Amino acid sequence: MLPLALTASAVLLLGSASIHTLSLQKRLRSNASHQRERVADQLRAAAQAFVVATGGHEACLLQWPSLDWPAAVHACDASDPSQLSRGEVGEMQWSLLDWSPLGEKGSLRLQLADGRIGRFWLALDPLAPAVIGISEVQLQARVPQLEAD
Amino acid sequence: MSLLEVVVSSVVLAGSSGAALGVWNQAATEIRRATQFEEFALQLETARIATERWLQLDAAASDVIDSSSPDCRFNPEALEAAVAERLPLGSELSMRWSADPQGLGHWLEISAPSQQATPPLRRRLLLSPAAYGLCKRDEVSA
Repeated sequence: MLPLALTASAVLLLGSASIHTLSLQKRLRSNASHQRERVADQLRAAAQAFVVATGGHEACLLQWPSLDWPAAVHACDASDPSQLSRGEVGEMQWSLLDWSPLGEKGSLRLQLADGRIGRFWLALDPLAPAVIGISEVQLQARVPQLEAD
Repeated sequence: MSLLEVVVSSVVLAGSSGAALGVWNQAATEIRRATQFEEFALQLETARIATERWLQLDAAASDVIDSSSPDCRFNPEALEAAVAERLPLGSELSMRWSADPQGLGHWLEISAPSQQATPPLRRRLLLSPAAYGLCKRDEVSA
């Protein structure tokens, strides 16, 4: 009888341990998912800050890829590329990694100070250099620290 | 089968059953909390998507843009009222508005009641009229 009791006890304990492990995994998944959503919120806010920054003379720069901005300033009077290169929103610093216009949209990649990177597609006004919409964020691989310009 | 064997077997089985029951109860509580957490998280995400979809509508501009301001800005009262009217928020969720100190727009913070042993469930969204194409070109403020 003792072997039977020991076997039954082992089954009970192992079964309950498995269920407990599954419940902890579920909680960890939920927390990780919520954390991703909060990071996405920060990146969306950074993208909105970028769009607001394009509201002045810097809107002209939207016509060129960010790599060409140093040369494009001659064609865009009073524009300052540094206004679009970095900023702070909600106590989080962001920096521009890449802007590439493609017709009536453009690809925007931003990085937060903690290394998180997000990519957006910005809808551009066909009549004037201005942003009229922002796509959902695509979270990209994290890098350890803010990249230097 | 001796009496001693019966007693020892009973003690072992009772002890392991009690321990297993305790762990099952703990797991059930954990699963219930996680499920509620996910439900709240889904409500927050739904509220975010609904807010953004509505702001992308052209009709939204006339309702919430402050036409008396030379800059392109939201009318805070109109924005709060419009979002409160349209958002599918559950009764457990709370909303808080604040203006961005740099003038980028308004922050909408939606939070769910905190549960024991879980991180605070809160979303913080920046709503800027320029980002939704609600500003005419000459009204956009830097």
